[in-house]
Formats: sequence, C-alpha cells, structure tokens
Amino acid sequence: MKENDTPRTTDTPASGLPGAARRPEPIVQVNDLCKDYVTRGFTNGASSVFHAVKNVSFELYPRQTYALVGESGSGKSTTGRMVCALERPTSGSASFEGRAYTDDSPALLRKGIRSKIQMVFQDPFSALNPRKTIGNALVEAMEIQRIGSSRADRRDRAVAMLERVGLSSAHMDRFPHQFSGGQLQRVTIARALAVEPRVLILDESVSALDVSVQAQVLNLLQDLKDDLGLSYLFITHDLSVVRFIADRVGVLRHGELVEEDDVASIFRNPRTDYTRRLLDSIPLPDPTDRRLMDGPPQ
Amino acid sequence: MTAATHNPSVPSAAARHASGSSRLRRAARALRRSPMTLWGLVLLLAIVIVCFVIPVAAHMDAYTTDTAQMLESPSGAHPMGTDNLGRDILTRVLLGGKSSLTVGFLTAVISGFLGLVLGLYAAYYPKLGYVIMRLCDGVMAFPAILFGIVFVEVLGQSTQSVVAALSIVLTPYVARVVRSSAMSTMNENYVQVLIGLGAGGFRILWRNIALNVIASWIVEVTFVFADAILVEAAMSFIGAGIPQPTPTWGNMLYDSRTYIYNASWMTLFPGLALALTVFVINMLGDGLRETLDPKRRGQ
Repeated sequence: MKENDTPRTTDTPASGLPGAARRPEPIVQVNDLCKDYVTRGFTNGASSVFHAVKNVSFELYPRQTYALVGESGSGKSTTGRMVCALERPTSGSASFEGRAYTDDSPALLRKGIRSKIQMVFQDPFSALNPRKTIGNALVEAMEIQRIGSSRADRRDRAVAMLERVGLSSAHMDRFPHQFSGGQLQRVTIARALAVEPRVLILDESVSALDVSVQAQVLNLLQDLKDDLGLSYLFITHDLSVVRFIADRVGVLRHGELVEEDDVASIFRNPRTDYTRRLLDSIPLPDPTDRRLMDGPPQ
Repeated sequence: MTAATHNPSVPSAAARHASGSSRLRRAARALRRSPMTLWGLVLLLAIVIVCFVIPVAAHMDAYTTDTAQMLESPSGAHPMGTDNLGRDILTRVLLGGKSSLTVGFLTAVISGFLGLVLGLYAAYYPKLGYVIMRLCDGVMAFPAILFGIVFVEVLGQSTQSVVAALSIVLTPYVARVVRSSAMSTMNENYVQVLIGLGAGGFRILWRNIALNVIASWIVEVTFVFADAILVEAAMSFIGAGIPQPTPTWGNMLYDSRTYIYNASWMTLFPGLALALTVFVINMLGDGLRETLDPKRRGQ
C-alpha cells in the first residue's frame, strides 16, 4: 500500500559508484536519506533546523561490510538508526532487497523488517534490561519474532547462540551486572542474531571495549559473518578497526557523505582532505614514529 | 457473635513476583542486611494479626455501652480503661486498627494499581502523559482532607467512600513516581533494542520497564498506606470519615477530646496506636527504599 510513496527505490542509484555495476543486487540500499531536527522556541514561534543527515546514499551488498566513519556528530549513528527503522527519515528512503521500508507503519515494520535488520549498540550495559537474566533476554527476542516452538526450544536455541559467541549455558541465568563489558557485548550480539537477521548494524559496537577484547569481538564478528552469511553496516569513528573489518567505507562529515570507496583505496589514496585528516588521527603503536598534529601531509 | 465472620487476609504484594527459591533466598539475605525492613515487616505483621485476630478470637465487644463503668482508668479488667460510654478502650483500639488498616490497605492497593497503570502509560506516550500529569497536578492541588470531606459529603459516609476519596487523592503521587522512574529507565538502549526486535508497547511496558519501576513503586505504595491511615484518622476526627459507632482511631480521638483532663487514657491509647502504626509503615518504606536500591543489588 505504501509502494507508491517511494518510487526511487526501484531505480538504480544515480551516483554511479564504482563497483555498483559489478554487484547487481544490494541487500540494503539507502537513497538520499535526510534527517532534520527542528528546535522550536518556547515563547516565540521561531525555530531552527539542524540537518543531521543530508542526502546520504549507499549500498550494502550481501556478505559485505560497509563502514560508516566520521567524527562524533557527523550523523553516522542517525543514519544507522534510520536504516534500522528506529527513526523516520525526513526524506529519502532505505530499501531491503528492493523494497523500501522506511515509511512503513510500525505494524508492517514488525512483520517485515524487524527480524531482518538488527542493531548492536555501543554500550552493552544499557542495551540489556538490568532486571532480566541473559537467558530471558534471548528467549524474549525469539518470542517477539515467534522463533522456536516452545519455551524449552527457545532456551535450547539461546544456549546454542550463547555458545556460538563464546559463552556457555552457565551464563543463562545470570544478570547483566555479573558480566564484563566484552562478555556483555557478546550477549547483545547473540541476542541480535537469535532472530536470524540478514543485516547487522553495529553502532560503535566495539568502541567501548579495550583493545584486546575489541580484537576478540571483531574476530567473532568476522567468523559469524562468514558462517551465517550476514552483512554488516559498521558505524565507527575508529579507522584502525575499519581497515580490519570493512569492505567498503563511506566517510561522513556534517551529515554528508564526502567520500566513498573500497577500503584499500581509501587507505591508499584518500581523495578528500577530511579523510586524510581522519586517517592521520589513527594512533600509531610505535612511539618513535611521530606525526605532526597540524595540517595534512602534502 | 459467630466465629464464622472472617477478616480479609493481607496478601504480600511481593509474593506475585517472587518465583523460584533463588529469588526467595536473595530476598531473605536482603532482609537480614536491612534491620529497618525486617523490623518494619515484623511489627506491621504483628499489628495486623493483633488487630484482626484478637477481637474475633476473644469475642470482644466494642459496641455495648455500660453506664456502670464509664471513664474507668486502666485496670486488670480493662487494660486501657473505658470510655465515656463504658466501652472497653482496648477492644475499640484493636477494632479501630482493623478499620484503619483496612482503609489504608485498600487505598494503597487501589491507588497503587491506578498509579502504576497511569504512570507507565504517561511515561510511554508523551502526549497522553502530558494530559494525565496535568490532571494529576489538578488533583494534587487539593488538600487530601478537603477533597475527602467533599467527596464523602457527596457519596455519603461509609468506608467505601472514604477509600474511594483517598484513592483518588493519593493516586497522583504514585503515578508521578512511577512516571519519572519509567522515564529514566526508558532512556536506556534496551527499549530501543526491543523496538528494533519488533516488540509491542504492552511487552515493553509491562514485561520490561515495569520490572525496573517496581522497586520505587513498592516504596511509594507503603508511604501511601501510611498517608491513607493518617488522613482517614483526620477525617474521622472531624466527623467526615467512617461513621459512628464503628470505632476508628480518628473518631475515638474525637470522642476523647472533652475528657482529655479527667480521662487521658481515652486520648493516649488510640493516639499511640495511630502513631506506632504510621511509624512502623514508614520504617518499612524507608527500609525498602534502601533494600531495593539497584546500586545495592548483587552485593
């Protein structure tokens, strides 16, 4: 019934990106996504509009990882939330396997897109109900999506999923405060995967973890992607992580996609000044190798 | 008097949520750590048992007047003395406690339930919440006693109308606490996760947010319990509460006012009973506030 609202989605994007022709069917396609936040004055009617996301378009292909990078406030999380249908775009749309869903009603979203696209947040402590055991959180996710035939079946699946992410059945009846950050992030990944999604949006999902744990979780994510045929939209400010996990990279600045390319090309020859500065901000593990803070290298 | 007349039992509000022995064990450990909660609970139970069981078990009579033994000071036969109509004050204090606790409990249950529902939905649906909260502000602007008097005048004097009036007046306090507590827990990402999983409002509210609100809700309900007892006593004192001759602490104090100089026990015992009960309930509430504080959980 809403098909006509978004005629753009059936077209191929006009951006003419390299690689778009090679891989014909994107799993998620984002077209000219915009988000404005309007602040209205209390006494006078004056209002100011903040453009959080401006005309962002990109494609996510099956079994690929698309990294959205940018500094804080660049609109990358807002983009992620719109792709996950947690927020409605002001204009533009996102489509899943050719069907636009961003204007769907909540009921339609629940039927169509909620099980297909899942999000993993930065802070795992906040993403889990403190009064619910880990097992119940996973079972609830499956209950919502009607996966599994009975409670016992769902519990079995939950255990299997926990084991898949490197935890065990002993963790089922524990509460979130009894876990470490790294373990909890595994739990939130397990919960997201429990509903058998096709696309995972990882919003700074490893940024809060310390480096060694980060590496473990990234490895886990890579394995899961290969085993389950997932596609990732990886949102981060940390380019060193991007090099490890991403296939394509989009650079956001003030809500605009300033550059987009394969990960190797971005790191080899960044085309914009901004990307070059971002690359320069990656900390080097070698203290003798210094770089000047001011100005990009010429 | 027949022994078949039975008083309403007092089910524990927490019993519904306690499932499994590990939860009970945790509750027992928390009680041991918090003497205020433990003593509040034990004393409140003692008061309830004494007020509800003893008058029935001992076939006590609070109504027959006896002009031969008016205004007798405390003695073996009448441990708290007799009043101006020769009725035993101990009996009337116990039965007064029964009506006070009944009013307090029913008010706590009704306004607790209404406040929980209103508060949760007010938090979850901001526009609806705005309307609900302005209505609550309106009700809270009335002093409870004034509202109670008007309400009882309209509906007629009875226990039911006192409970109804107090429930209406005290519901906004519960709703406000529940709403603010729900709003702070709603900012957590897990609500977003649930929306992302496709959960409906009912599941999010009642099977997730409610779990995080229940602690502050229980605390607020105990304070409503104590408040209701106090306001009921005040209403009875000015003649707008439960009608005579049913004994309540409030109307006993009212009766005693003329005799305060020559029969101080008429004032002393119902007053003490009222103060003790309210103190015990408040102690329980304060203890629960500490015990249920999430920062202390898991220790």
